Amino acid sequence: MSTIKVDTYLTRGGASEIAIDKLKGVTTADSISVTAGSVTTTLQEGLAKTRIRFNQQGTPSITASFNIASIVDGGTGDTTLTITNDYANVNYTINAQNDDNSVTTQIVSDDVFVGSYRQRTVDGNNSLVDAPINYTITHGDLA
Amino acid sequence: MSTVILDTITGKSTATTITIGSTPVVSASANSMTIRGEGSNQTSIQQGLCKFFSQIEGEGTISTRDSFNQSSISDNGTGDYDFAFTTNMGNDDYAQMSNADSASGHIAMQYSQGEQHTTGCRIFCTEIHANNSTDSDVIMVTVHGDLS
Repeated sequence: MSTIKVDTYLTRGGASEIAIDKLKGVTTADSISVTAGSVTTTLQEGLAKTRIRFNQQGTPSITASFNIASIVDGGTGDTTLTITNDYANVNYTINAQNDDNSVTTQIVSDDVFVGSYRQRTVDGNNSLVDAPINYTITHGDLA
Repeated sequence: MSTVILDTITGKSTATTITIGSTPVVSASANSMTIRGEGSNQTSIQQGLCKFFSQIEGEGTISTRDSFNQSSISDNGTGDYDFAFTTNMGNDDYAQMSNADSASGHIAMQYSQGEQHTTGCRIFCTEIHANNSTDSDVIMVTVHGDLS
């Protein structure tokens, strides 16, 4: 066990910068506090664990993503997204939207798993439709 | 290139206060830390962090499955929920996203601009094809913005 006590970091050139590849809490490995405003928040809790932009039309394709392994076409307006690094439980939060103002995105809660989740896009008649641009972001505890 | 390998870094003057340059990592004062993003640009850690999330059971007696920075939830009636923050937001201009389970065409959304408070927010759930307020077994909410 080694400890360095210091108040301020500067580079040798005096810049306000620290170069590091990995951060880990000491008291609790998965909890690092960050000052935000006049209070502190938890770095790990605040990080989005997955994000994706994808196209449902034709052969579904991922435009950009983070921690998403693949998407599976379940039919019109029905997509399952698989996660690379799984969640610890199924109680994570999923928020999804699309670019069509007559279409809404829903979460199929019976098909939310630690390694995947399913979402649907429906029109005003609750009929499934494909949307060209879909955005989804998730927050929760990784395994 | 220099490398420091150690287990613990604590503040010398105040154990819980460490400063990089003039930017407190953890301290009693507000500030902003930048981090280099995936490319060459930098972004703010504080601005990028989600400040609140929650997944709840919204049918029957409502309950929380998992949450962050949530002190309580309230059932205001069919499809009408209040979420209270543990640590308040700095203003009511935060970005709020919500979704619901797919059953019967459920959608969840912000109740109204006037129902976003520094202390919490209000969500309602409706059926898009009937425009009826309805409970959903899954309501998911996230908030991004400035803490107090």
